[in-house]
Amino acid sequence: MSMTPRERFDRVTSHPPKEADRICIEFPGASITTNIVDQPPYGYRALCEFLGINDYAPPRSHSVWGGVLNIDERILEKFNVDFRYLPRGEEPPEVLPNGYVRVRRYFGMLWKPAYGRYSVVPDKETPARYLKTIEEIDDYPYWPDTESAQARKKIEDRAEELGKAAKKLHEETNYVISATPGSYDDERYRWIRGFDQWIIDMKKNPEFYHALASKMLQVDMDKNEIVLNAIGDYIDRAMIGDDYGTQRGGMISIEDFREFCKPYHKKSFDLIRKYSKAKIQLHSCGSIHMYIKDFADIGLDIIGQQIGFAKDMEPEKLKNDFGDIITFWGGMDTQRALVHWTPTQVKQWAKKCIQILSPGYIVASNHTIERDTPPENIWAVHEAIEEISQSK
Amino acid sequence: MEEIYMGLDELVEAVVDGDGDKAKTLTEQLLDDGVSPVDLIENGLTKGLRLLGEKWDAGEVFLAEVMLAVAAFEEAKEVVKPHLKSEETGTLGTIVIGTVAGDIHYIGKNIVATMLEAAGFTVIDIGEDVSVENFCSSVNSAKPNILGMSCLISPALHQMKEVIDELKTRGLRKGLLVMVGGPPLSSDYAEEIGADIYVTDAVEAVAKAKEAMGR
Repeated sequence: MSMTPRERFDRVTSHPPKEADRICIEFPGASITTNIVDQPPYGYRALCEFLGINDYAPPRSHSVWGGVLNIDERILEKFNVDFRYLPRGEEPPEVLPNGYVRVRRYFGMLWKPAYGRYSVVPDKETPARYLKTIEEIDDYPYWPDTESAQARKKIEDRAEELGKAAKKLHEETNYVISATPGSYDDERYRWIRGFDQWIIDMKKNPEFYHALASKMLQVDMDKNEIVLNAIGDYIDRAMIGDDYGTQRGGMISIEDFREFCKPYHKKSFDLIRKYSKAKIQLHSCGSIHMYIKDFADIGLDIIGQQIGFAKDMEPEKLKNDFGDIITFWGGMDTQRALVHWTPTQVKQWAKKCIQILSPGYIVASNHTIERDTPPENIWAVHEAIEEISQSK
Repeated sequence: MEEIYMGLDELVEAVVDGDGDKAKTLTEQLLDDGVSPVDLIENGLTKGLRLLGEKWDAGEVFLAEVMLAVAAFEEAKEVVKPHLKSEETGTLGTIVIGTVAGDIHYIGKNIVATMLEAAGFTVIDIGEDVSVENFCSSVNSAKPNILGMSCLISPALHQMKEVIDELKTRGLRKGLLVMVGGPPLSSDYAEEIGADIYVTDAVEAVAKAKEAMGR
């Protein structure tokens, strides 16, 4: 029996997961870390042309991560992508005299120009690095305004706009409606204090760490609550991001994770749950095996993305250790497999991931598909899915 | 004498614990007690970092602990530096290291650089997004034993080959060992582009650099 994308998604993201009519697909996607960059030699335009789509709209890319946000609907259809996306807003950049950009919604983090897009500034240039005491935190000048009447009106207007878009998608399609409603994000701590200081604060000045993290959470939740109230009934997936893995294991011990990170994620997840039945999905780079159980304990439904290409992230191990409590997403490796392998090898790898991890699996890239990825290799993933579906 | 050894052991522990204040204080005390700066570095600070590296390799500690230990090492080393005579600043070799053009990632490269320095190499870190020209001119001016190149994203990977080719063109490749590392690489790829040493992490970088230098 054929299922709608929403029904399919609901089954594969149950815990334990249930069999669906076919594989759940988000490859390529249009959310950050699933999409494709628009830069030669290959990239988005080459994929369009490979697929015979020549009248695509001018690509609009994310300022930092570079992936195309307005992926052509025909691509999503050709790849049978089960997801559709609420539009992401990018505030007008606050360009500084030195060419850097300040991003107010990320607590004043700075970006610097790099290769036609932006990159995060080095640790020593981060804007909140100068903070020494808890008393200074409230006076940090780059907290986004979430309290003034004008700011509230702006957030409410944006929430209303998103709410309408979500309602329309929900009612007029049967796709999985994906949103990024905001959530606590340790990465932003690193962006405003520096990666090194994130660790030093945690280990040497825990009171300060908690004061700053609490402030970040509170500012975020003030805004997110308004947005969630508007879209919560219409979305199926709340997509959030952070990074806790290196290639060889977690960045911090599980004890530190439980003390310094987990409580903030839990509060964010609880807020999402208060307003929505959407499944919560987390992106993290690297080897995150050691944190998965803890994330599942606080209500995370789906986790990705470096399946098969970081320590302890082999599909067999993930399935065996956590297959009943969480759904996996990702695995189509953008650093090696999609770039350097032949289409036949890519197809074999895609089939392996699907066969081992299904039904609790969503096929996706393990990060943004880079500009040196041949379209043939992207299409090979689709062919793998088709061949498996036909043999069922 | 026994007290000195105990002091050195404490210093090792302070580095392993990432306690920079304690490492600095102990270093000052041990210098006052007459411990030689070389002894302090080799049997105190470097030993601490080496032990921590072993724990990291065994999965007993995490990146956080490594970064704190490195910070403690560097703080204490600043205390020792003015006491070192020029002939005591011996080195296992000189390494120029950088992340290739088109890539701004630095955390992995910085850890490799610091661990190499802690192991006794003179490390010249030329940063991130380093052009072919900058790599070649740095090799030309510093005359290192090893050139280290790091890369995290695949589109920048070809830069490694371009650097190696340009080094050959300029006659700078002979006698130079080229070390490469980063997730998009494989040992096959390293061999294909003509690199001498392929590493997957900082601990391996130190071991292979030492081996290459006959240490």
